[in-house]
Amino acid sequence: MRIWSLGEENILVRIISPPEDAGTAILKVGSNSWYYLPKTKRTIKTPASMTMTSWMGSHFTLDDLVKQSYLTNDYVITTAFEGTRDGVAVYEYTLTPKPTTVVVWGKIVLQIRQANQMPIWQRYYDEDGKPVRELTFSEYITVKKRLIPTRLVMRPLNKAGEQTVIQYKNVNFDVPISNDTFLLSNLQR
Amino acid sequence: MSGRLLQFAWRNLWRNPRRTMIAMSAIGFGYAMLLFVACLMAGLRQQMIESGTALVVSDIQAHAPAYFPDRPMHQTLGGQKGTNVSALLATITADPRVYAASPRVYGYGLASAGDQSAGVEILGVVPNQEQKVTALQTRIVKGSYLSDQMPKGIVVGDKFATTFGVGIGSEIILLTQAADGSMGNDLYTLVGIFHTGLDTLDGGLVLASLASVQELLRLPPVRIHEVGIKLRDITEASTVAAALSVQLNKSLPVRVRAWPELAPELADYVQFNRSVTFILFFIFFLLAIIGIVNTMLMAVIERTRELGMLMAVGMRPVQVVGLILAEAAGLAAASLVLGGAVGVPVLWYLQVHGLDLGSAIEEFSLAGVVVGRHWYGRQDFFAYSQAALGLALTALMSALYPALRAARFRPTEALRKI
Repeated sequence: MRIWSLGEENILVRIISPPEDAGTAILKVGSNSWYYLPKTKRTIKTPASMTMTSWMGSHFTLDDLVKQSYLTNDYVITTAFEGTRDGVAVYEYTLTPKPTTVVVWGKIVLQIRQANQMPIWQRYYDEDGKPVRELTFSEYITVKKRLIPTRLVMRPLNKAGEQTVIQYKNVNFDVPISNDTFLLSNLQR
Repeated sequence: MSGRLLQFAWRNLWRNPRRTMIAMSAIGFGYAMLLFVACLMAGLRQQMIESGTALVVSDIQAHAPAYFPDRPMHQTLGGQKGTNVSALLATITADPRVYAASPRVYGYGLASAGDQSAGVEILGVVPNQEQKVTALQTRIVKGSYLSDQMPKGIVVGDKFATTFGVGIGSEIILLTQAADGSMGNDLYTLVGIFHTGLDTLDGGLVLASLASVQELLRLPPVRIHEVGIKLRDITEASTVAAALSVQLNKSLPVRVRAWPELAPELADYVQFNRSVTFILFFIFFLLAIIGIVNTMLMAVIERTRELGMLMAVGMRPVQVVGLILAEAAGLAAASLVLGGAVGVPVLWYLQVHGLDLGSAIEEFSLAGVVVGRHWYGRQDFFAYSQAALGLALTALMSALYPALRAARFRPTEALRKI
């Protein structure tokens, strides 16, 4: 997959392999997203129902992939814990969805390392307060003075032994991208 | 009870023809009503079973053991390796009670046209085989059913067509999770629109050819989810399902289910319908008891002198009981004949012409199936005989009290009464 993003509003994802899915592209601008399907040479607008279900057979949803940046907008954030866990100074935040937010989660708990503000894990709870899945971050690297995690592992907590890993192989910042990259007409390039 | 007693009882009944006629017409009319209700109820059951199974479900379905009812994509017949579909169909149709069998593949995904998209159930069928098993082709209102000439054609319901704003010839994209984890997607052309009156079908079912759905889901041709089976006689569904289960399990693991298991809400409704019919019968029997008790009690009290005299000349109390019971039985039998005579033309009419529910009602759906404007009756001889038997028993039971009362008359006192 190749991903381009500009600000928090614009994201473009292109799938390069495997061959069955190569050419598929996803564009998100603001709160709308579109799919380009190379086999049919058509673009479809992604319905809300599709953003919260399994994405391409993985444990991630389309929402995980392209909407992360909205955590601060759509949730009420409270500090649940501040101190040392396993010898590491951390913050733990509880994110409760705002009444107007349409999500399937009851709450999200996020642990952040105090030293470098990096996320360690993120746990998703259902509406009954049961943990459903856990996203862990690791392999932090510095690119252009910015520290980022490059390995994201999503584990469903109700299915032992299953997980999906997203590994960033190459990350770059401040590359020149024009607004045209995120035009719908550009999707089927 | 001798034949003379019966003859005597019968003659007694007609000594007061007006009273007997009134009682007879009350009971007879009641019986005719029961026949009418039983016939309509049986017709409703039949119509619901037929429309509930005929459109998509079929009489019997065969699946891999873990497939139904969640329909996970990977649980194809014969597992990951699939099965020889034509051999499987041949085994099923070898049973003489089977009319036809049709292979099917199911997918769940997204249909998209223009700016609209919505979740749909995608059903892949072989057009000429499926048409022998289900009757969706009779509900086509625009365009035509699937055909081999249009391998990428699809058929959808009218509600789907309206929401998506599509017509015959429109392009529709189907998007689904394929078996290999990739995103199956393909472009289809709308060839036909059906109307069944059931929202789940009219708004959410997409019918396409078996091969194209297998390609969309990336399933090889040997992998199918289901075989839909139509029988010559649907009432044999459970028996044939059990027989096929034994037969098919010799070569691959399958679960064969008859329609009551496939559409439990329909089976529940049929049961409910039977219960309602039975309750109506019961209420009528209660009313009949009151009618017969009244008639027979009057007949006994009115004839106190006569009965007293019979006993005085040597009739034993048990013979008096027998006489009164015989009169009640005769009354019941005559009423049933009368009721039947009135009922038969009505039953014939209901079966042939049906009950017109009026132009105000186009159709209504009940327990997930559509009932048309005409409500046809169906002969339910079991219920008819149940009603007749119940009525005869009711008559005898309700004559028991007047009969016992008559048997207790003392001849000397009875003779003195007017």
